[in-house]
Amino acid sequence: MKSDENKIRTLSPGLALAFGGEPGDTNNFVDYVERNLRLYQIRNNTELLPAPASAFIRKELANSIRSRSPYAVNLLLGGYDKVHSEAHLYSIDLYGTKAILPYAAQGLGIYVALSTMDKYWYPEITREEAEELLRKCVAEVKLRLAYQFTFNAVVIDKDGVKDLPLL
Amino acid sequence: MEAISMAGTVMAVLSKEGVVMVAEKKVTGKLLDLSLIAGGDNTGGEGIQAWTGGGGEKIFLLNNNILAGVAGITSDANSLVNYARNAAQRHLLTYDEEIPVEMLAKGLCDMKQGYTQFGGLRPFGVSLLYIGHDPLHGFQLYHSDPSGNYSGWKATCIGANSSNAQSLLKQDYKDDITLEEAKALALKVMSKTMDSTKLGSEKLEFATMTLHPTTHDPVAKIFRAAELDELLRKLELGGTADAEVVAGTGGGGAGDGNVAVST
Repeated sequence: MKSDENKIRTLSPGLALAFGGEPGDTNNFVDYVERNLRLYQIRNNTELLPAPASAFIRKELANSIRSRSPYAVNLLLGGYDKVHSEAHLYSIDLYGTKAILPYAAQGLGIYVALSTMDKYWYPEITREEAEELLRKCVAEVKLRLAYQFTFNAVVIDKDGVKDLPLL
Repeated sequence: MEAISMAGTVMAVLSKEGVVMVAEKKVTGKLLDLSLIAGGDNTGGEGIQAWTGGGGEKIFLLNNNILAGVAGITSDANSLVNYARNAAQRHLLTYDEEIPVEMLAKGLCDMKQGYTQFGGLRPFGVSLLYIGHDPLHGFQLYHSDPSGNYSGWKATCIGANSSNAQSLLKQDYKDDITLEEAKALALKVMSKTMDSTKLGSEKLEFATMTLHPTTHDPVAKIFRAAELDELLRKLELGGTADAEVVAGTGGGGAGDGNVAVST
């Protein structure tokens, strides 16, 4: 098991996808989504916004689970909607369940991270505080889990997707 | 193209507050049984009722945010309207959003172009005007022709006498036109373009696309006969059916609006 894999893919200037699950499936599925969003952009001369992109990805997974060879992929989709000036976060699982959430976590450290965010998140949280909360979650996961992962993070805003230093 | 230049005129005018479409009905007459067309005697309606009320001969609701006016071979137009409604619902199913106006216009044009290229098939003899709203580009107006070309407009016109109407629109259109002014402009130009001197709901179809004042969702409105006659009277362009004037009921006042529907 690789502990320092980058599991966040930038799909378009306003959209990033974090993924976990069966190793081969994840990369294949995210490649597929990335190319399809690019095709949409070329055909229609406009990027797919986060809300319709989430609907598209959810539908692909819902069709996949009902096929002969389903993808085992869990996703967190983050995006900034430039038309409505809103940030979006979606959690999508391998069964095709989509949830619109203010904060989300997936993987081995899910309960540690979610408990931390349950305690410190509040509706008017600022961007700086949210970045700090993310660092708090990472620290908590490193403290409480036996397996030592390395983490990377991105921040998505009107200017695009940028790496966020965690330390 | 020949059929389109003979067809009833369809005109649309864009404003910041909404889009207006007006169409000239060709199939009219005392013996035409209006109760047998889609929507029955009282076609039209607003929002969800625009679906159940149905369109008439020339104006169709393609999706919650898009209306189309057609000129040309009616049976071809019906087939295109069916295709467009399918495409719009397919987009809604995949992306959970209303289809953008240009995407729907482009989809129809892709099909229309295909029928000009492959042997053995006849092209669709239809020109369309699309009016609609999407968050990307706001209110929009597009025109497409049988060859599969499409273009965006501020005000345009298809069908019989369309070049005359176009030059009238060009004279009187202003960029800061309001919705009420757009309604008046469209009906005024229509009255100059059509053969008959008096306009009435039996010869016209009228529709608008606006935004809901609180939810800001697009609202399509296909005017009912009585609503259109009321508007025409307000603009002093007619609104009372010819038969009523002959009958000498002293009609034409606001209260007599509904009688005009009968012819």
